[in-house]
Amino acid sequence: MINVGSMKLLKISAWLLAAILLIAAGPVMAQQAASDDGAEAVEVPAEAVEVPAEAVDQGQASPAAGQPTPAAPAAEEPDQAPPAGADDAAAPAGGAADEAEKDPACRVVRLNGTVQWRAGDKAPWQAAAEGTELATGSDIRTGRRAGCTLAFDQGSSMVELEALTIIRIGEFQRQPDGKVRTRLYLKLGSTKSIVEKTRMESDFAIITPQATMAVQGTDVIQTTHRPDFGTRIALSNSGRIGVTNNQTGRSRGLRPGDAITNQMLLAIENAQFNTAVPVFDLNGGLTQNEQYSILRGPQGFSGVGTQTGPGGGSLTGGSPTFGQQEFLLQQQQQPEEPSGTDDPAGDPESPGFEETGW
Amino acid sequence: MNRLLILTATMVIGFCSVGLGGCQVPPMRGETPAANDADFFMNLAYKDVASLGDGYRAVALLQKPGSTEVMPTAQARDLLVERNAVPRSWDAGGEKPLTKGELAYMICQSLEIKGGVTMRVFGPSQRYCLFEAAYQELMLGGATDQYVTGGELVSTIDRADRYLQNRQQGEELPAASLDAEQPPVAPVEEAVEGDD
Repeated sequence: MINVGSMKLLKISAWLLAAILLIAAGPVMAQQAASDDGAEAVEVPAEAVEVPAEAVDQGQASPAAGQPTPAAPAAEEPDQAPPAGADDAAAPAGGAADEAEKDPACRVVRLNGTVQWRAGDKAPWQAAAEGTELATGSDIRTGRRAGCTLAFDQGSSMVELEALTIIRIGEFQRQPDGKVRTRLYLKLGSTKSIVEKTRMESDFAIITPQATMAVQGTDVIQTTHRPDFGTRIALSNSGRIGVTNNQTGRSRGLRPGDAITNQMLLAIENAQFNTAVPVFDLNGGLTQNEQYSILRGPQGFSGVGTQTGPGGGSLTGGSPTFGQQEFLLQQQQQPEEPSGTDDPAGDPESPGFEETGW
Repeated sequence: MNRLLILTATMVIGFCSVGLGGCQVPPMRGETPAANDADFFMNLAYKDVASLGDGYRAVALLQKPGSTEVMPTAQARDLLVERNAVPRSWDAGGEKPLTKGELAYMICQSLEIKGGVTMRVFGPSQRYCLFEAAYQELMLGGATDQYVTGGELVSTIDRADRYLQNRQQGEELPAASLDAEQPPVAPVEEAVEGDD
């Protein structure tokens, strides 16, 4: 019995060992292949590898790979091709030759620090100056502690680019009804926009990878997109803007002083825990119907019970009071206020950020 | 029994090799091209994983506020080591992926963030620097071993630079306000009468 048991154990151990060695051999062999090749790393994501691969082509291999150390710094290289993911067919930006024939969409009216632009994906980056005119499809980027202001349509809309910002002018066209349609794609960084309503009707939107901000006419709107902290849009002075989450399609309107993140939650400021200020987000990030359903159903939630809704009564569970029901019904009967002129997320003519392949 | 022992030993070696093979990330060869700071940060924004060398070069820019020239990795590392922002023991080649802990350490040391009691008593560590950077809203919190994407690095440098600018403005303000004439103060009695 002992012999049979130990034999079984030996067999199982042998199979386990074989499986482990097989798993272990994969990455090790891949690394060896990568180190032999010198240009291709296997497990590093494609985009991370792409730049070094180009550098190797230009004689910039690392000393570890057995290649000579580059004498010239990378700063002297010509502008490299766009990173992985750039697709010319999908991108709103065309070639440099096409861009030259287009009418200018905007003009640089003020700049400081390193500000560069290019006419399209394939065009080289060049330094911007005051008065530089940019056509549709142009990209603009700013360096550290740099910034610039772009004037669209004779100054009816102004966009201020802050430091470390990359933006593309996706669309700029005057429509038959006189409306000026502008679409900007914010890859990274922060912008402040002023869209004037009085001089001409405009259809202005800034599209980030996470959210779309559409505006008809208003004062300062700050749009920020950071890969780690996400998108944040704030309306400073006046007007009303609509913000749409690109993933969920959910929209919300912003009033002056409001700020919103890509989760479509309004930031409630000036609330202190030790004061009994009745502060609440009217719809709690939900639609009116969802909020109505929640208020109608019996709730097990036992949160703060002192806050009151606009019609009186508690917002923290139980059936809605008469005042709440009346208020919600009034809201349901009212036509929804337009959040911007169009819904860019649902507009077939306006490609989403992902579709640009930028 | 001997066979069993041999097998067990072989299995342990096998597990170790799996661990080593699975955890090792191939080094990222070559520096990110950088004709100027804007070029460097844009190329960085497209990288899925930033390298330690990218971190050296980006944080070294914070040490030279007016400069738009991005230093090579070795030069940037030397500068940071000289200013105690990077320990000498860190990888000189800078080809391994940058972790949140390393970035937080460099940021806190560069910005001279003293931190809380633990950091003041025991000195800066990657773990507490990350806590402090998250508290100052310079970085998102997380594990110190998490890799940093290129976009995250760009955003962190931007916020760190703003932090530096705000602090510099704050240091300049008191001196300027002393020189400026103080506005006339309204009499107390009038204010009381107005309230009544």
